[in-house]
Amino acid sequence: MKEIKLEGTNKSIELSSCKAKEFSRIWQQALDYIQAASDEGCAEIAAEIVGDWAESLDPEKLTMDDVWSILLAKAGKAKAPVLAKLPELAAEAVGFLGEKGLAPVIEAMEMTITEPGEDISQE
Amino acid sequence: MPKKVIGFGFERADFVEAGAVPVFSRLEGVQEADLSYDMDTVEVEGDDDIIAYWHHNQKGEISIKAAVIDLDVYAAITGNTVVSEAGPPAYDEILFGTDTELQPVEFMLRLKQRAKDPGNSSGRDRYVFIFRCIGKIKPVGMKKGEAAVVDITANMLKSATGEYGDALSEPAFGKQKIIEQ
Repeated sequence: MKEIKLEGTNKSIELSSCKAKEFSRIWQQALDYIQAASDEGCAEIAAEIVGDWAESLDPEKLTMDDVWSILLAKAGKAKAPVLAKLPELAAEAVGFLGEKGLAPVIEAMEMTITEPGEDISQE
Repeated sequence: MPKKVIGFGFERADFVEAGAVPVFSRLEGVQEADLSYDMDTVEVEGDDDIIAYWHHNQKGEISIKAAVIDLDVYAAITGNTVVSEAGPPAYDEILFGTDTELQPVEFMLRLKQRAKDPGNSSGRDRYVFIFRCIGKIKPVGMKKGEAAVVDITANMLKSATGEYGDALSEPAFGKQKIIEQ
C-alpha cells in the first residue's frame, strides 16, 4: 500500500477507497482547489477537503501539497491517476491563455453558441 | 484475491485516526510486537457427556516494545499533554503519574506483518487493526548498560466502527486485512 507522508505533520495517509457517489464531490473540490487564487479561498476549500475526508487533521498545519494528497488518497487507486493529471492540465490551460489571450477562447465559444452563418460581430 | 499468506513477524505499528481517509502515525523503532486473542470456554455436561460448549469473555492484548522514546506516543496512550517551549534551549515535556492517565484514553492501532503468497511468493501485506485499545506505557532500561526502550501494552474493546469511521457489520475488536503489494 503506497504511503503518502504529510509534510506538515509526522503523519501519513494511504490510498483509500472511493464510492461512485463520492467522486463528483472530490472532482469538484479538486477544481475549486486548483482555481482558488486568494489566501482565503485556498484556506476555505482546504478546510472543506480536510473536514470531509480527514477530519482528525488540522488544515492550518497542512501544506497545500498535503491537502492535495488527501484528495488523491480519497480518490482511490482507480481515480487518483486521473486526478493527478489535473494540475498539469490546468497549468497548460493557464499557459495557453497567457500566451494567446482570451480572444481564441471567446472566438471558439462564439462559433459554438451562434447559428451557422449568423454574424454577431455587429451586435 | 489474496486470502492466504505466509506471514513473518509484526514489523510496524501505527496509531490510526479514523476517517474517510484514515491518518496513520507511526510508532518508530518497533523492536517487537505481539498480539494475543482468546476467549473462555464453558463445558455444559449432561447425561454423563459434554452436550455443549459455550464461548464467552473474549479478550485480547497487544504488546509492543519500541526503541524510540516519543513523547507524542506517551500522549496518545496516557492522554497527558506534551508541552513545547521554543527556548533556547528548546524542549518538550510531558507529565506522568497524573489523574488524567487513570481515565483510559482510547486509541486505534494497526500492526503490519510482512507476508507472501504461498503459491507464487508474490508480496503481500497483512494488516491487523485493533479498533479500540486502552493502553499502558512504561519505560524500560533505565539502568546503566541497558538500552532505553518503551514497553506498551494494550487491551482490546469492541467497537461498532472501523478505520473509515463507518459501521461494521457487527461490533468487533478488530480485523485482519491481506493486501497485494
